[in-house]
Amino acid sequence: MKNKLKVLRAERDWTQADLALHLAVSRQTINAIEKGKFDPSLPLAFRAARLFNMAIEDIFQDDPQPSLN
Amino acid sequence: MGTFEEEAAKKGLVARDIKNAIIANLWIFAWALSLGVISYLSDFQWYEAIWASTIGLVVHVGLGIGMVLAYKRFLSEADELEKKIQLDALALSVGVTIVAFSSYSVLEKIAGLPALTPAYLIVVLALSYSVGLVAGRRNFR
Repeated sequence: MKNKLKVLRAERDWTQADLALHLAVSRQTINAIEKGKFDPSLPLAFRAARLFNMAIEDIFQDDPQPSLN
Repeated sequence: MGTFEEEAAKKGLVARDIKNAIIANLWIFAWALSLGVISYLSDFQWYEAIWASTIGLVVHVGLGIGMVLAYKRFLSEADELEKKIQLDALALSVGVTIVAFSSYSVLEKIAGLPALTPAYLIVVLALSYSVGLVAGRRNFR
């Protein structure tokens, strides 16, 4: 799954730790999601959508080459 | 100096996970300590007194149940990446232990190797679980 978390975070001048605190997850989780190593759960995707005031599909896009997790 | 949550976040961790992990580790330590004490005291035939063996067993089983519940709580409330790393490590641990013990049991019969004691089970489980955790953390670093 591809995502725009890194771009959205950069627009707000947030670090990974800042975003992690907002979403109540670890910085490692944000890092793994941004690198495409880990797909977030649906509740976490909803929290991200609420935080950035966007639709989920505007943040996360299906990747034709799926990750292995 | 920020809140506990902010300080934990700076280190990349979730405060709730740290609290739950500390609680689970305290239960694990207490359980391991009770196992060590009971094993040590068994050298002195303490278990021949029915009241002593009953108390020892009840305390050890009670601490074991507490340990399992504390770890279950840690796992169910854990950060989702941490949960995945833990589950992968547990799967590796169970798989390695089953394969290792079934293979050894075959060797025991055909090659006459000495029988394994339950202590080896705990060692294999703990080691393979630790390897799984380290591998998972490196994989998602």
